[in-house]
Amino acid sequence: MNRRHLLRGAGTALLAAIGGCTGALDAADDVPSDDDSDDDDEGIVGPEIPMVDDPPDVVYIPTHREGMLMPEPVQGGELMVGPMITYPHPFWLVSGTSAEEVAVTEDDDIHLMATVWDPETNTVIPTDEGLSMEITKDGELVDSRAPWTMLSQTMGAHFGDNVPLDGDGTYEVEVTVPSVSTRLTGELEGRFQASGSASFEFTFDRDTIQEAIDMIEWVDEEHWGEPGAIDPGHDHDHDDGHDHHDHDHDHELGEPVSHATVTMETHDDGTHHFIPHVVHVEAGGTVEWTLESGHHDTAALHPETHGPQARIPAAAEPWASDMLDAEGETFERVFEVEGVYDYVCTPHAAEGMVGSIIVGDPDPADQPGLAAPDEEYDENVAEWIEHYNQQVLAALDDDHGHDHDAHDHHGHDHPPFSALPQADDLPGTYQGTGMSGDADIVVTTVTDPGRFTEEVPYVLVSPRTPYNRVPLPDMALTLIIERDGEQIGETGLSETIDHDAGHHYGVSVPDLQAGDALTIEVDTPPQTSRHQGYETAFIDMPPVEVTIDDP
Amino acid sequence: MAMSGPGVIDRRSFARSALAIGGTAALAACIGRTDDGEIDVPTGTEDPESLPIGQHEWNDALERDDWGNVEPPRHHLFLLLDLVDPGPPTESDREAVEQTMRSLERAYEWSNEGLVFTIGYTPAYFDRFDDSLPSSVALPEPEPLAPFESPEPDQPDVGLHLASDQVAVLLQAEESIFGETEPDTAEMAATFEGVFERPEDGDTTRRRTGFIGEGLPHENVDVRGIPDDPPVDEESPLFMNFKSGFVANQASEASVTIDGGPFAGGTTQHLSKIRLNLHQWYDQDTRHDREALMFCPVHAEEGRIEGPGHNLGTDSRMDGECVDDVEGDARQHGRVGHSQKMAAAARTADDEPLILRRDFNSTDNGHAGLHFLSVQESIADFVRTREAMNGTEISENTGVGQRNNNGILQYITVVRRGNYLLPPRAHRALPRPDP
Repeated sequence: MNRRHLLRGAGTALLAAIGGCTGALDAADDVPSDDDSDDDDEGIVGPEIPMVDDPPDVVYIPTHREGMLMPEPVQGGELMVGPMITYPHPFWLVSGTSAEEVAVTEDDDIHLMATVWDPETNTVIPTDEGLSMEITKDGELVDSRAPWTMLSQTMGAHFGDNVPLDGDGTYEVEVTVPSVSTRLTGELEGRFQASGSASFEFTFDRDTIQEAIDMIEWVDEEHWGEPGAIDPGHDHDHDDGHDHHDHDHDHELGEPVSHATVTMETHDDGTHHFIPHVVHVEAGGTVEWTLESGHHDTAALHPETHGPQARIPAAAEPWASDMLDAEGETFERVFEVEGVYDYVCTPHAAEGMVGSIIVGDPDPADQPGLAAPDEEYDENVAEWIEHYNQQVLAALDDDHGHDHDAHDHHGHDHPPFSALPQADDLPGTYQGTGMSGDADIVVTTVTDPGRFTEEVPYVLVSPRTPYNRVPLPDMALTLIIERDGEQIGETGLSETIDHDAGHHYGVSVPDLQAGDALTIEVDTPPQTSRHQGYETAFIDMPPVEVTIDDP
Repeated sequence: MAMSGPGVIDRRSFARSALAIGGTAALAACIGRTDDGEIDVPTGTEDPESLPIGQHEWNDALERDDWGNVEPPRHHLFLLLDLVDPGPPTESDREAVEQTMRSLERAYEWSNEGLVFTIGYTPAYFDRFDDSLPSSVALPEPEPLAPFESPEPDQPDVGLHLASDQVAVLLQAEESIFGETEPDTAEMAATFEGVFERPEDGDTTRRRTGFIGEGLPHENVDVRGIPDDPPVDEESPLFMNFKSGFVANQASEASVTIDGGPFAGGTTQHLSKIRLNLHQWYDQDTRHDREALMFCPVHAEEGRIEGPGHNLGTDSRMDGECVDDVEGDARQHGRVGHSQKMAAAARTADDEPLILRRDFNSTDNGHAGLHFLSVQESIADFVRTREAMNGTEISENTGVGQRNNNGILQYITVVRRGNYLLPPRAHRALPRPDP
């Protein structure tokens, strides 16, 4: 790589260094080259990502769950943008029916991703709307690009790319979300027609990458490449070394038990926990704390035991155990008074070791244990208290059927995972599901005039990944209708995003009758990039057939 | 750029070319390379009548490549200038501008070996007058032309485009125009001093530089937006590694000339500043992808393009397979090519191209870029061409996205746009709207 020196001042000193003056094909070797230290890349920054040898042609379990850092989501126009930063890693570009691996190059410093969603309806926008990302450092542009649409088992439908940076430091990223050109229906109709910009900052240095690498969760090698998918959990920030389980839902809240056990743990990453963080016992039931690792106690949040706020029912007595330090040591307490009790481990409270107990079936109104946290609490403690308040309220309310809590452990907004509704939760009358290229293609018909189209019925075709129900955007689908063995119609399906059905493809077929045979042909499979585990599926997609029962 | 050294990540540093730096120092350095301290350039003409009526009529003065396509001059400079004083310009301003231009015409041959140039006027300039432009001139203010772009509008009074095969000629002409020096071959009868504000040093919005031609992109890859080691062939005239400007894909100078009215013989000019994002183009897309996206998926499948595409001759061969059913083709391949969209939609009723492109690559701001410049009879022709490029219907009806898989839209960001009237020579010096 040859360089030209910067021009400084006037005169002869410059003569040897100037290139490009005559405009002819200057031999670049005329010019002395710089010290090549800038070109000296020590190699790729990211970890060596193991891949699955010869994966099957279906959705398969990859070798790991990616670790990533998630800066606070930011608002751009009407839409939210949730950024995610991780080490650069390979992915696959799909064009037509071929998937080509994109390797990490020496230039790449991070993998930058974003989820875009509507905060009002929690609908993720998975289609290519022409997003752009501009990365600046100290006011200078470092990189500018239109990210790829991408599919990942754990991040669903999002946007991303491997990106080069310019050394250690703080970077600002501006994400521009243009007006959404994909057809929008239901509560989304007419919205997102102005472009919006959202900015966030992140710091980049060796530690950033290391932090993301440390959060990688490795899958047992014996499962690599098996048909299946990694569960899209939210617990990216806890590497507990166990088989991944969702801490907060180990135990059915809303179904009180007579005796609940809570373990007190210190994990390899230095964090401390009560597991489960929230338990539900009958009035008169018992909670038994058992020490598993570290040194812990349990104490009610109450001015007498750990102030400043009283976070137990007024009629209840606070408690405080001795310090437990031997593995297997226990502390037990009977809870007579109905209500919500918040408690901590006193040495680790500031580090977030907080728990909550629901006793009986209390009225959430006026529960001291559900009040907003006192201002004097350490920020960490306050965040956890708020988080568990939400959980307890949810347990005491009717379940809304939302699979995924929109708030992470720190009380910050998380991007929603883009899972599409289950087949029987889609609008309309269910007609059938076909499988193609390991995708599930669910078909329903909707007969409310004007709901999706003026004319009805509207044939709603919802392709999704088989395990995590991730939408499959940027496909081209054709619908063929046959009656009594004769083709009576052929039409394209329009890509659509609806607040309830989510991303799907649809068209109205006004004279559809019971007994009609629908064939859905895939002209182009999803033209989005893929993360590991999704690059062999949804490529070769044969047609699917569904017979209409009753439109 | 990845890390190097123990725990330290180095910053990039960028070298700029002489033209990008500009000024008397750069000029001195360029001239210093010659034997006698003078630029070797053919002299111009004393007879302004010998030059074409339209400022944009360059083709006869330029060279042709081996296949008959017009070769643009290799180096370009575009200055966006504002009048010093408010209100309509005076007669003496007018005379100064005309004499400056004539001095350049005397000093340098009107050709790629010498200097070709145009001076154009924006809607903002004509707002200085009470009267409006005649209906024979369609010159709107610049605006965004796609939902995913938000360019800043350029509204200087004047756009001055200078082009030559020699950087030294451009630098000398620029310094002469502002009274800092004189050409070797003629005196300046007048200058822009006191008439126009000169752009400040380092103002890359008002002073845009660039290059086009075999070998030049290959030498200039040491900037952001393009990988350190991309496969830009030595024979490629442009950063994206394909040639363009095939004669069959360019409107003729006659067809872009304004027919009637007081500005007959002139034309309109659109200039946009585009940032190129070529990491994905080179590091991630394959050669096959690039051929499909720049031209047409069928071209890629059939291996029709060798290297930068000189083998295509005088047109990009957008034939039946590429243009008869663009949407069907896009449904099949999941992508659509740039030339494919243009050949199918950016054409007159007689299937002729609408615009004549004179764009050039750039490394202004230390970033790979393109100054897109075209002349056309009406700015509406340019807008129509750009709409064809957006491929909106195709992205709505197929798996092609707004930018992904949609020609080269993913790799470009339009940051500025401006529209100019290039009056015919007779009215090129600070014209009134009713000359």
